Amino acid sequence: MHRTQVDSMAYTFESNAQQFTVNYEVSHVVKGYFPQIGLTAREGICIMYRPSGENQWFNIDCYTIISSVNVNMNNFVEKDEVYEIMIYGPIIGKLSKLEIEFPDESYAKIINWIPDKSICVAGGSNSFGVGCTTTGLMFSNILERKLGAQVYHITYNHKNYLESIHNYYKNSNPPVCDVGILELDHYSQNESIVENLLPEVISLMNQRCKYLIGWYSLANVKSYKKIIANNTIHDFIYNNEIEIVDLSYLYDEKYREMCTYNNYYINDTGNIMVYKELKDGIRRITKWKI
Amino acid sequence: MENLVSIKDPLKTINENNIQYLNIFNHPSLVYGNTVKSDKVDFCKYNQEIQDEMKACGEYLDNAMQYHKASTCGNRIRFKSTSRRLVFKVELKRAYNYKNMVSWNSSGIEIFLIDTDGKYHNYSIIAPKEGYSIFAEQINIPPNSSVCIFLPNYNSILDMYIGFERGSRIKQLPYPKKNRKPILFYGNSTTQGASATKSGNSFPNIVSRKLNHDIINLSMITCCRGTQKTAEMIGDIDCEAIVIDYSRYAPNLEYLKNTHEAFYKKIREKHPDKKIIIMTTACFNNWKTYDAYDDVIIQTYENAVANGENTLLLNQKALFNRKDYDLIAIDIGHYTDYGMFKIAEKICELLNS
Repeated sequence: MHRTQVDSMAYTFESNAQQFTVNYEVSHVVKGYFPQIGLTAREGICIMYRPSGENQWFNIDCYTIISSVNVNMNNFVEKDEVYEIMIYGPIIGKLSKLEIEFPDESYAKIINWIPDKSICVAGGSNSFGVGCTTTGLMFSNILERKLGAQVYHITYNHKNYLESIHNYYKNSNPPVCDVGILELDHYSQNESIVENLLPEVISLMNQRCKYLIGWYSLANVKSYKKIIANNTIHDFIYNNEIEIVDLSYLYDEKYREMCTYNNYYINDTGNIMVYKELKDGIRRITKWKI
Repeated sequence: MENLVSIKDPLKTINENNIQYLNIFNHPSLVYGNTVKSDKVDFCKYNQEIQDEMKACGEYLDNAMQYHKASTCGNRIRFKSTSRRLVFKVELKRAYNYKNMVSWNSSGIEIFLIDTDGKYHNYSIIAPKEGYSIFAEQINIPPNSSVCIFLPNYNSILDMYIGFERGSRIKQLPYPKKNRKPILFYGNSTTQGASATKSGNSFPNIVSRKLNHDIINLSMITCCRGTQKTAEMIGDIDCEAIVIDYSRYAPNLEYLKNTHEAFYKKIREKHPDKKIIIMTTACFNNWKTYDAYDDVIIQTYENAVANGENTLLLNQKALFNRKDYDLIAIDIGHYTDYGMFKIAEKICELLNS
């Protein structure tokens, strides 16, 4: 499973309709054992809204199985009030159809954002969204909507994901971004892959990103992997070519019940914590007012 | 993990040699969180009168009651054992997931070890692959472990065996004496556990762990209607305190006005001195209707306080910053674990106040 789309996972429009209908289809749903992914994140959609002119997004609901959904906006906005809608597709399926029906008299327009900030998220299963109940809770999507940034995903749900990121950066046309966010390692990745490829991946990402943040969240039982990663990229750290954010504390006694499933996966709240730490990291290195 | 056709199937990949099984349904002294005391475990927490009451409300509520009445939210299996290996054989009612939950919550069996200070440490979690309802799994534990297992929040257990090493000892693991009277929770789908990511992370279960205290979670999706029969049943349970999270499932404001205070008063009548915590709506998307719901709930609370009653209010919205509203719940008000922990902490604070 991989996600190398060069656009966002979200679809947005604005309208003043008091209700609208979303017709959607999801295909290529990956079958397997995913007790840590919500059903709607697997094969449904997640809908959020915000009143026009407001920064804050609010959840409406998530949907699955039924392919036509009526959304009543009169629960949230006044008559004729303009609002924005954001629809996220699934994490391990493909949104193959998305169609919105509005009442005849209402106004609706697709929003083509031209964000002034861009972020590239590259990584393994944590970055892919494994562990999330809904797509809206992926840390990358939280960053996108909270920072108003364009987020590109170069993420893979397999253990040696650095190989795939390396291949992508070598053989494709990766996006040019303000900030790159790289998941440096994961509990199951072969150490030799990290030792052999991580420095080159960092170099390649640095060619396309003004700033680069590397992060990991590794349980104590895998703490040796932190040492390997840090030793491998010591020169980059020393030369300020990458900022390291260590989120391994999510597996410590104080946080593990709330933020993780086990020694391997973070959950929704883990993603929220990753978002908060990365936001702080981004603010530090870019000086953005976020 | 092995998926089984029948719970009686011999296991293929898990070594059952030297394992002796205990049928959980025959050992009610190991199972916590039920309302019915008998020589067989009965996970159904609602008496026939309440079931009939729901039936009278129509097919929708009746179906929900019949489907969820034996849901194991808030149920725990507790024991101390010298066994170093536990083998679980479980038959669940439902093989499929719910839309806004991961299966490690809805069908998850979460195992905690308790240390000598009464602190809980999450140790393992198991749930079957979607499409399967009968399964077996084993875990290794340190010998002489004190074990507390939180059962699925959105599923029912039809059959369950726990295998121990032959010759090992199994002892009951009661709560400390002062913590044995249960804290009662009555609420909606969120109080039942949606949308935590693990079965142990519903806020009633977190409260139970934080205080090392027995609980009974009477919450049920759809059926939380604040009925008089339910109030009577709650009134008949000897308990430490009561948490009422009755709000959004009232079908309209008029219904809530007619039932909320009456529900509270009926309980108060039977528990004149017990601490009762009343919760406002968990609504984090500006759904306009529910501000008026909160007014009704707050009025119940203010009347109780004016009457000198031992009643506290938990204003759920006031606990959170508006800029986090998209993060604390996955929809209008089904909490992520972050929200669940925050609510649990507040309840503990109020219970200890």
